[in-house]
Amino acid sequence: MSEVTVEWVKLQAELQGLPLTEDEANAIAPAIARNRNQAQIVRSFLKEHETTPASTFDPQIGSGG
Amino acid sequence: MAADNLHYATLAEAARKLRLGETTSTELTQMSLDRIAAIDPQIFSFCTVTADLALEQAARADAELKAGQDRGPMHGIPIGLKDLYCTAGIATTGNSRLMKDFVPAEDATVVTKLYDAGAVLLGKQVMHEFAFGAPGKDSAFPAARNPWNVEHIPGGSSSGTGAALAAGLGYGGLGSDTGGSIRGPAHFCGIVGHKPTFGLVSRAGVLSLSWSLDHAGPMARTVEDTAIMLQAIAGYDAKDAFSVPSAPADYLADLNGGVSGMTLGVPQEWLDGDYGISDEVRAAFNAALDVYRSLGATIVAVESDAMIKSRNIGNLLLLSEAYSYHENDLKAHPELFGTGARNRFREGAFIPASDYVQAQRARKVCTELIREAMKDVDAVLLPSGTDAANRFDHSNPEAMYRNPNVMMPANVAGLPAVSVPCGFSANTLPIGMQVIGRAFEDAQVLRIAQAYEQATDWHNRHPDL
Repeated sequence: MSEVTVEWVKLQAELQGLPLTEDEANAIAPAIARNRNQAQIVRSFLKEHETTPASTFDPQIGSGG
Repeated sequence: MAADNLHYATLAEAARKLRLGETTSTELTQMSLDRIAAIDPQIFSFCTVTADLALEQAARADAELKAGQDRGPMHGIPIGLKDLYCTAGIATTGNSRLMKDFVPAEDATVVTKLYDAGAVLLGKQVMHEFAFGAPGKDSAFPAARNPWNVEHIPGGSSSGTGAALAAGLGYGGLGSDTGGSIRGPAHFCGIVGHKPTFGLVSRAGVLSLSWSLDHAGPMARTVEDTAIMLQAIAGYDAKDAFSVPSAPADYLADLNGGVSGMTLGVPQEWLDGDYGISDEVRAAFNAALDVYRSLGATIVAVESDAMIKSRNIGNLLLLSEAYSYHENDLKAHPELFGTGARNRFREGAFIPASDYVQAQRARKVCTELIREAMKDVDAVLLPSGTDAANRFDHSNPEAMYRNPNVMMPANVAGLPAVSVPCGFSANTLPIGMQVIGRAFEDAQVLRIAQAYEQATDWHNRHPDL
């Protein structure tokens, strides 16, 4: 997985058509790295608790019971 | 009690006085409007005051009550709405410059329900821009301030609704809660806020932050008032795809049933771990547990892990969905967002679809684990925040995002959760506690909160304004 550098953030934003200055890329890069870390935590959590890994995806989001 | 002393009456008390002929809706409304004019220049809780509409609705309520047409306890009661509820003919801005000229043609479903119940609309209330992030200096309206100390934040994103109720500006309000935005301001402002079960209250006509995490819900000064408001707004709505087709319960019938014999769970590992919960919050929460024990409840430890991890799951869902909602405007008009909101929304552009899908899958697992943790208890108790309100100039959202969010378990799992005042910090700022229940056990959650509230007097304290 590529490192979250300011250059990487700017490139990814440009590919998506999202305007972003150097300062703005600099401002959100730490948060993007934190979110990536959270995604890893979520994958580890799934791996730890799913009894039948990747067997289902229930699009009925939210519980409501 | 003269009408001009009624600003801190409860909604239920005001309703009783209306029926006893001790006041009128017009008196309550004019008193509220006068108090908004006098106090709100310090608090900034309202962004639009609908004085003419309010007086017209109040006169109608008085005429109907006089004629014997009683619509129930909301009839003639002045309230406010977070400025993301669509109100026909009244600006609905989400506190964003992008929407400063937006005047909806229709009311949100819950606004219609409140009007049908006879409520009087004092106005629209300030919020964090599009219900996200921290109070912004460059949003459409100035940030609401905490009535207990205007140098401190009132919490968010339903900041104006929390601040207004703590300041005695109206008797109830509607907030919205995606990751704690009803319960946070309730915690910081010393009021009550209820996030209903996902699917119980319609979000049709409510500006969205995150479709799968958003909840509409009531805020008030007491649990009973919150239950009265929930009764008025709960129920199936075909216009909300996630609305659940079931009849709402009676949220008032067993409200005073107490907690004797109940078992209440505490995620002890979370409380004891290094997760940023302050000593003052921990002490207030532990004292609240003793109150519950004295009322006949048993406190037991429950599994914490899934609740702690819900922060990570919820954050990925929220950022991805929020970016989807705002993507076009972020590309075409980024300058019209406030700096804080723009930066946070942009984070969602860097979360791959695969991470979003895994987060939704993890959400199911997390919900099941929380359900399992709760199988032997009547409800779970948690603090409503990790600390009392920070000063605006000491507010550090980054630190907040690093720690597990005590609110997020109820959003990710869609569970009912109410925040009730449970103490004060050394510098006289409120602290709250959550009661979290199983899905559609909103009545039970409110009953458990009511038992605590009635055994304590935190809800009777008000800021000196």
